[in-house]
Amino acid sequence: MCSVKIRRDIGFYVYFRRELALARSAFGATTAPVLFMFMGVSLIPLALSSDTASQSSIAPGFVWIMVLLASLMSIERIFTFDYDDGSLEQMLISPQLLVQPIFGKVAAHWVLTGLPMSLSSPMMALVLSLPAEGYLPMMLSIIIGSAYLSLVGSVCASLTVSLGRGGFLLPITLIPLYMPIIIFGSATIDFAVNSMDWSFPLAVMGFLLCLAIAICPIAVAAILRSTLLF
Amino acid sequence: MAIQFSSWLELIDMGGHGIFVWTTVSVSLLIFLILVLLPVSAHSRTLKNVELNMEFEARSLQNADADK
Amino acid sequence: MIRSFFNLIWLYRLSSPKFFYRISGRVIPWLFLASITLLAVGLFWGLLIAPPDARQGHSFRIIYIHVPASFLALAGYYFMAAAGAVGLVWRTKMSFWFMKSAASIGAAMTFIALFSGAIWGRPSWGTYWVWDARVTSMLILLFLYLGVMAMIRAFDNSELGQKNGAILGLIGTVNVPIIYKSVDWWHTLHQPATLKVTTESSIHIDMLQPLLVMIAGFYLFYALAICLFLRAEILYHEQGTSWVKELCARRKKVRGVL
Repeated sequence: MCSVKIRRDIGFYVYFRRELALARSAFGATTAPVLFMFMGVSLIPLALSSDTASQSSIAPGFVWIMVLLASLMSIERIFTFDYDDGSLEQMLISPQLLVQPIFGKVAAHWVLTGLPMSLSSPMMALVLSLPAEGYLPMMLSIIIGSAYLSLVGSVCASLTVSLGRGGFLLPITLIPLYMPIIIFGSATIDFAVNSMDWSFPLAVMGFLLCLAIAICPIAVAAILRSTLLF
Repeated sequence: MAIQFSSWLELIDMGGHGIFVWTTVSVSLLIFLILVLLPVSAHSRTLKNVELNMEFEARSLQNADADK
Repeated sequence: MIRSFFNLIWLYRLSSPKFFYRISGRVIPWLFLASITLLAVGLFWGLLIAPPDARQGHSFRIIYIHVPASFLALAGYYFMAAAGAVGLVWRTKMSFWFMKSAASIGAAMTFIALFSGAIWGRPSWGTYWVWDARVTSMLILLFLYLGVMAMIRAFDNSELGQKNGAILGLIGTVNVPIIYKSVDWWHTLHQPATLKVTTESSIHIDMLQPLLVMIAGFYLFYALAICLFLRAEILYHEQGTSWVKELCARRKKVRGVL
């Protein structure tokens, strides 16, 4: 009985809650990505011109570039902190499927970055004068796409976990893998603005997400095992 | 099956497109040369390293014998 | 002979660094001669003898560099990923070294393909760079190659780096078709206005023959480069073994006689 209880404690939910609790104790864990997105947007009128910034044609693409960068910057933390303080090894030697805690950590990363970015993206779209029909597809595409970014990002993050923080290797390896999402994500918004059927690119993103959910946690588990128990 | 160009100048010029063709060819051949020289130099560097190590080992063995 | 071929014993023996080193040393001169001859013949044929294109004039001759390099850039990625997968499954050192060599050479081939494409674009499209679907996916392929190369070299522990590089290469192979399809779709969505010179579906036989010679030459050169890179890699990693020391001693003796 006792062992069953312990195993139930170390599952998806426990790691998910642990990550959220850790984030709550750190300053600005959820607000920082949103803040980053807004600051990035404020650069457009400065770098280009205020006319360009209020043209709705750049809005879909720029929203998605900022989502991608915010996800890229935060994905590194998903394993490095745990690697530094040894709790990642604790996770590895726990007597159950490694996939569950990994999935919990990735889900927490998505809740902390993708979800707040999606919920606050209408404000950004307002500043970039995106037409109103683009709002719902934008939020949906960011919700689905950022989950894919978190999943694929966790694979590369697990590959580079033993290198420590602040390297260029993670972005270099990740950006090519993020490219399909940025294409279909911005296309979803683009289609909606041009009053076309935007369900197709969104469906492709959903397909990619399903693929990533099936493959990525297993891959991360295998990589972490071979890297840390090397 | 005949050579398309009647003079060297024509061959180099290629109807105004010579600069593009010859740049491409020369850059590609340069990269090929680098692809050959890079491993060959690494190969000989390693060999030299091994030889130095062997000499060092032989000398230290001699010194050990002399100390006896 | 035939039975041993199908038993894959030859492949098994090639996975021994010492055996490969010995065999490749004998093969390399012939590979070198063959590839140089084919490349020289192909270049002479393509650049001097093949008739000029009706629409593009002589600038089409860049095809004799561009197409073989693109072929090898794509095929090389799969060679690299397959070698990495073999290394991950059977844990053979040689396949990881093959992967490392193939990454460098493939990146060089991709660069040649991109460079020649850009130069070719100037006379035929009027601009060096177009965000065309094929050009863009080729650029992403170069990024993937560079990512794998960086991953292999990033770790102090070279074995770990090679393993992680192999995993990244495999992730890339899952992604190459996805990326290619998405870029293709993106391109048909944002069709750039005016570039319609690429009607290369019906290439004339006089132009095709030298192209085939060049493709064969590029493949042979690829094999030669792989052998050279692999030998350097083998020697570097097997420095401490007795057969390398014997090899050095023999070389020294030969040099002494000379």
